[in-house]
Amino acid sequence: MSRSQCLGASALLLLGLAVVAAVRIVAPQGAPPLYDSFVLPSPYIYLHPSPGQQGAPTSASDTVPYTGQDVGPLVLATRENPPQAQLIVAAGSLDVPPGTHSLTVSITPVDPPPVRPPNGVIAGNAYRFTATTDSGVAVPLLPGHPATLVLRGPIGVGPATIDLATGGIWTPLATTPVAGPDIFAANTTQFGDAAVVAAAAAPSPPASDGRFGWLPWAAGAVAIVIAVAVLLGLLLARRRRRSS
Amino acid sequence: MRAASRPLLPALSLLAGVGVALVARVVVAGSAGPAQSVPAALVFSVLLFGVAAAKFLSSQAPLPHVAVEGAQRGTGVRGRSRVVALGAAGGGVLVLLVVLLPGLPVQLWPRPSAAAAVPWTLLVACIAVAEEVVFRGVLFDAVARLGGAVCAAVVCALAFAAVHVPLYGWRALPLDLGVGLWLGGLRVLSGGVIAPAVAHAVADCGAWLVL
Repeated sequence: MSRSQCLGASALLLLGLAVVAAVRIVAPQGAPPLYDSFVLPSPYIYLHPSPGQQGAPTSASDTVPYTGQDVGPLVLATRENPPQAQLIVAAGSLDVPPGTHSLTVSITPVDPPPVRPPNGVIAGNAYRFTATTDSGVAVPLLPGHPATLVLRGPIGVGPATIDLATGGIWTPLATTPVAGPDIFAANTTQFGDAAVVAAAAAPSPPASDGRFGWLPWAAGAVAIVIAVAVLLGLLLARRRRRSS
Repeated sequence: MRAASRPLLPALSLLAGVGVALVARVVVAGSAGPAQSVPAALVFSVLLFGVAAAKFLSSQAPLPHVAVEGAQRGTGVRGRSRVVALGAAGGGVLVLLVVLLPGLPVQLWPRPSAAAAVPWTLLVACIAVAEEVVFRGVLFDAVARLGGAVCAAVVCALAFAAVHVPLYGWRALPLDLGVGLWLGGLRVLSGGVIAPAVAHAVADCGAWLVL
């Protein structure tokens, strides 16, 4: 290896490492650095499933003791894969009333308010995001300290926003589609009921049951057979060239 | 003579082949999305292997320049072991970055279940190797003949990043560009495709398993 090649390789390695590290620091996506495969999300779980859909979505709840000091960041997620609803409350974001001994944050799938959102149709479930004290008093967010809602829509939902319902009225939030499939994030200044709202009804889910059954085994076997065949073919071609 | 008068043709034809493979992946996936379909991923990897095989079999270049012969500095059992170890270390660094810089505390991608770990790992490794055989293999060689190894690594990293945009969106572009440069560095350092292929497979599988 020449000196220039060695320098070139070193420069590429350093530059690549710097870019990957910078991206993970500046714009983290919650994803591995390499992501060249397939991912199979579990099917969307509906609160009121239609025939062919799965039911019984999970809730999430976390109770933390409160001693007058800030409780630090609170991160909560339902148990689907990936979660259908997640909540991030940064440290120092909650306006905790005096006399509080513990705080409970929760995410619960609920029936949405009867009024339709102004910007489309609800895709999937509505989720109620709450923070309460041990005496059941709602804990609001401090001004300028929004919480982040992360909601997953049904598979193939397409462009959508997260809407927040407070007082029975839906309001679209500034929404960002995030790294994963059909997952959206939005900041909110208050807790309430939130849902993914799409311009049109979500398409029917794909036939896959999402449970990673026999298909990957068969596909893996086929892939390996093909890979081995290709490699053997290349080795044979190599030998023929050498002999000629 | 014809090849000499059209120096860009091999690289462009390879890029076209990659484009066809990508379009096939998107089409096969349909509404499921190209990153969420096992058949589409399988078709993609098979077509990439096909692109590499076609290029290899049609190559008029002397053997040492053919990428899949690779690992000029890794011939023999000990040499190849060293190259594999280099690749494993390269992939390990990428996995370590995930551990050290975990990013957002939310889960944005589905994780394979423990029961599916074996078939998932096999398929992911197969796709990773297919991509490396093309991007750090035949395409790298085709571009390296025009502009040198470092230029080839950069061009292949750009192509590698671009290929992932339809799968994961524009946000993935800088990340995959950085990873492509890292794998290109391993390609130049090792002189063959084995090290980046091992690194890619280790990073894909390892990063998921540690998350």
